[in-house]
Amino acid sequence: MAKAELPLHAPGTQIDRGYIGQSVPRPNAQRLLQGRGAFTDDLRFPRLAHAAFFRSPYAHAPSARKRHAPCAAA
Amino acid sequence: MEHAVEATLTVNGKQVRRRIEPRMHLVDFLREELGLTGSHLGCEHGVCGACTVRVNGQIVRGCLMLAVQADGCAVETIEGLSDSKELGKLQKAFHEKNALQCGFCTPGMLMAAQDLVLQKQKVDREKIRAHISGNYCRCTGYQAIVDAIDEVINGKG
Repeated sequence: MAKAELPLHAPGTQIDRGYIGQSVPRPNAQRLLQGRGAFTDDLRFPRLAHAAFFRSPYAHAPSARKRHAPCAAA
Repeated sequence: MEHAVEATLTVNGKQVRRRIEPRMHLVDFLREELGLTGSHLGCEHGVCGACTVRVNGQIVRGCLMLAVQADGCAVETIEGLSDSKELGKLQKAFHEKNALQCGFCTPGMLMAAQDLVLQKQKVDREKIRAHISGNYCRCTGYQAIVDAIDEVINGKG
C-alpha cells in the first residue's frame, strides 16, 4: 500500500516534537493538485463489479425458502 | 445490441478514435475508457463541478455532456493542463495557501479557476467567489481557495 504520507519527524529535527507549531509539508498535495490522487472510485481491479445479478433460470419458480402469500386480488 | 457510435476526440492533444455508447457521459468516457481519473464524479447532475473539463476552450460539466457530443472537439483535462504546466501558478498557489484538503474538488476547481485567469480581468474576491460558485468544496470553506485564485490573478493573497 501507499507509504505513510507524513514524515515521522519534522524536517531537520532528530527528536519527534510532534507537529505542534510546525508547518508540515504535504507530500500528497502535488499529486492531488494534478488530478493524480487515487480515490476509491479511481481504482480498477481485475474482474471488478459494482453489482452482479443472478437471474433465475426458471420462470415463476416457487422460492425454496419461503412461499409467498398469494397476492390479494387487485 | 451494438449501438456504439464511432467518434474522434482530441484529448489533451492526442487524437482518440473510439466506438462510444451514445449514452456514455464525457467524464465517464475519460475516466473509464481513457483512464483519466483526475476528473471526478461527485453529483452526476451538474451541481458540484468536480467533473469540470475544457471542451474547445470552454469549461463544461463532464457529467452533463455526452462523449459523442464531443466528437471532433478538443478536450482538455486536469492531467493535460498539469503536464503542459498551464496550471502551474494556480497549483503552486493552491499548495501554498493550503487550498485543498481531501483534493476531490481540486481538479474541477482548478479548471474553473483557470477559466477566470484566462479572462485576464482584474477581479475582486466577490467575482472569484461567483466564478467558482458552481464548484463545491466540502473541506476548506472556500476561503483559502479564493485566497489562492486571488494571489494568481491579483498578485496578492
